Amino acid sequence: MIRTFLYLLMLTLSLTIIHQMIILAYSGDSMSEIDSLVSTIMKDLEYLESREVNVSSLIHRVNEDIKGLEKDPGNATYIKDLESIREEIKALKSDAENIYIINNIIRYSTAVGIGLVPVAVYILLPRIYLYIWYRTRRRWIVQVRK
Amino acid sequence: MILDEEVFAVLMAVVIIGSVLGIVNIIHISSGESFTAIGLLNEDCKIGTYPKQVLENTNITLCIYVYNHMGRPVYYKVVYKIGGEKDLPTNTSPSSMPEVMSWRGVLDNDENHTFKILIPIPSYEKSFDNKTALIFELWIYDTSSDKWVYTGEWVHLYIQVLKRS
Repeated sequence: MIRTFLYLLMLTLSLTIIHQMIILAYSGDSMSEIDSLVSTIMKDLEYLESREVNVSSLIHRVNEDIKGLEKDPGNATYIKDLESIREEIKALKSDAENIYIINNIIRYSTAVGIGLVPVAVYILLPRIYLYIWYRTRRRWIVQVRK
Repeated sequence: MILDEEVFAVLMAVVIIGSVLGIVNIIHISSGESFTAIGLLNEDCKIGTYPKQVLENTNITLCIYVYNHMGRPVYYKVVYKIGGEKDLPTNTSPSSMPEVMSWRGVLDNDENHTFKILIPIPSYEKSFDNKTALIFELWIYDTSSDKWVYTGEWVHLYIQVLKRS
């Protein structure tokens, strides 16, 4: 009997502590809640931008949501939009590495192409010049001076 | 020689320089300094004609300009504080005065925001020798440490707060 009572007392105490912890966790000011929500999005946006994914439209949306939440804390529309941005980021993150690799291949191939231009000019310019020089003078008649 | 050697050398030099510039432009080799900036503008969002005397317990409209050149998007906040000459922040430490208000936003790299703010001028028991400083500090959120970090940039406006008789 006493044991059951003690178990119940411990259970009640544990539940009370958990309840208080939950209240404490959510009783922070609204701006710190926004900060914690936005910080995870910012980490991902920084990663995506480092992988050269264009995230400017997402950044503008996050900014609009923050401004909205500042005016009207707890507004579900803005929080919902931030959640949907988080989902969009998840999808973008899975493609980010491929986009980065493709962009790098295009970039370095173009750089190599531009780097080869002086070599091509060195080899081809005298030949093209000579070809044009002879072609423009092909009707010339060579006469030996007396 | 049909093609003059000197002319050919000059042409090659021009092509090589053009090629190097093209490669640098594509690969984006840059050692640019990363920074943020904050500016204070008047109620028309222009420089100049700032209020000089303000009645206590009223609001004034000003404009804040924020610029990001950190090479990444930043989550920023502009913190509004009120103090005296001795309470101004430095480029390493923020003002010790308590925060009155703050405005948050997210900026992409090389982007700026200009927004109007309505700031309260509360009445204080303590006067700041007729030289009350409206201080606006720029803070950015450090995602690696999950903390707000003072950028070392601030702007302030000295006003004279008039007491109601």
